[in-house]
This record gives sequence, structure tokens and C-alpha cells, in this order.
Amino acid sequence: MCIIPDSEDVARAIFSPKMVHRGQILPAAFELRPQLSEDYISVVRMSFESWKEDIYSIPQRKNRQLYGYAEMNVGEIRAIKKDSVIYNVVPKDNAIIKSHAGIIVSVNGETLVGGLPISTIEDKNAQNFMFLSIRQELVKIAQRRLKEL
Amino acid sequence: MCITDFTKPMNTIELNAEIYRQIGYLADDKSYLEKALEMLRGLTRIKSTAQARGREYTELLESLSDFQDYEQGWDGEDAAPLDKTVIRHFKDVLQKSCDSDLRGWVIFPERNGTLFMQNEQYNAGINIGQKDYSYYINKDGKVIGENAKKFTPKAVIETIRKICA
Repeated sequence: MCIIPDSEDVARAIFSPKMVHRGQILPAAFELRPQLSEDYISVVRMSFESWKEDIYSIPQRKNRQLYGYAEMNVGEIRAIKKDSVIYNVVPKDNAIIKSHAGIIVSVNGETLVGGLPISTIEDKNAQNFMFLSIRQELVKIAQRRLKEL
Repeated sequence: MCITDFTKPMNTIELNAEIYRQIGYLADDKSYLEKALEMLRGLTRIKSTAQARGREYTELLESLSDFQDYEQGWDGEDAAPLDKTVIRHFKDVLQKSCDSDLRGWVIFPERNGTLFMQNEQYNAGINIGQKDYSYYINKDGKVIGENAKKFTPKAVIETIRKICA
């Protein structure tokens, strides 16, 4: 697997205008979705010429209209320092989206998966604090370069 | 009914006249009048509360009001609307807190219907659920926090004060 250099930027597409409130990205935009058992946060590599087309090619539907994207530097993501948490960005390219990549977070060597160990979508209990704090670091980086399309 | 150009800004006297004019149009319909009265009373309540409390309180209440409009699937998938109990819990926290407790906090809805309070200055967050809450504070790369703490407004306010101490 090729390694994405620290100097690269990636873009996280923000779907649903409701994911931005008074100019601030909702933390939910950086959640690993439990219903999909997501184990990475999808981004596109901006070093690919097709990156913007790739964002537009992601299916949109009612309530899931493309709002914009947040630019994030790979090195900055990897440099987040937090106890035993490691952030990484790895290629996830496929036949349709060549620029596809994923932000992977592992705690004590175990990759985080949506819904595990955080609460499920049906569960109205407060979420795991470690997960909340992990997500917030990504939101902070994303917030700095939020662009509307 | 006369057409008013609402694109032009009106002064207080003109606004006053416009309100009376619009109420006049509704004057022969009891149910519309009752609705108008209820809405005006609501505004009066908000005004008196806003005057008694600080800007932070009002802004959090306004954000809550925005997020209460988020319906099922607001994220384009299957996000739940804000849970009614959670909304009540948060309003209790607001009412029982001092304005200084609320400084620097913003709120966001979560996909599971809970509410996330965030404080950027202290790198901290609180998630209010139906029965419990969790919180974290990030200090020097170390995350300190607790899960599944029993919700009471007093407990959340004490947590806020601990975070911001």
C-alpha cells in the first residue's frame, strides 16, 4: 500500500447544509457511522486532478445535498497528540473514486469502528468521552479551511 | 389587503402600525387571533428572559431552537431529531446556571438525538443524553473524562465549573 505523504491535503465533503451551523461544522460530520460500521472517515486526496469531480460524483439525495468541503493537511492529522490515540490517512482508492482515502483512528492499536465502542444510533445515552474528544480534534483542523461549493 | 414592501427597513412607528394593520386583517377570525396572541405572548416571554439573562444564555437558547427544527434524517441519512428529554435537560441546565458558567460554550446535535456542548477555549465537551451525560477535557495531550454519569442539572453545572476552573 502506498503511503500518503504528510505534505498532501485531503478534503472531507460536507453533505447536508444542516451540518454547518453559523459557520461551524457540526461534530457529527466527523462521526464514524454506526449503521455502516465505518472504520475510517472518507476523504479525497486533493493531489489528484479529479478530486473535485470525485466529490460531485458522490450520490446526493433529499437532505443530503453537497454543502462544501473542509481541507485538511495529512501531516497535521497525523501530528495530533493524544494519549494512546494514533491518527493516520491511508489510500482507499477504488474503480470509481481514484482519489478516495480514509482517516483511520486507532486507540491502543485497535482501530475505531462506528458503533463500537460508541453508542448506537438508537441509543439515547451519552456517547463515550474518548470518542467525542478524538472526533473533536479532526473538527478543529477541518474548521480552519471550510469551503462552500 | 394592502401590500407592504417588506424589503424596506421600517422604523418603530411604522412597525407598530404594520402590526396593528396585520392584526386588523385577522380580526374577524377568532382562531387566527388566538394564534397571534399566543405568538405575541411567547415573544414577550423571550424578551423578558433575554433581558434578565446574558448574551450566552440567549445564544444557546437560539441555537437550541434552530436544532429543534432538525427532523429525522437531518444528516441525509437516519439521524434522529433532538430527543425531547434531552431538550428539557439542557433547558434545566441553562435555567439553573449562571451566565458566567455558559461563557464559551456552543451546542450541536448528535446523530443519536443527544446534545453535545463544546468549549473550544478549554478543549472540552459534554454530551447530554436521556438519563446520563459524559464529559471530557483535553489537557496537554491527555484526555480526562467520565462516561455514563447520572444526569442532574446540578451535576452538569458542577462539571462545567470543574472544566472551567
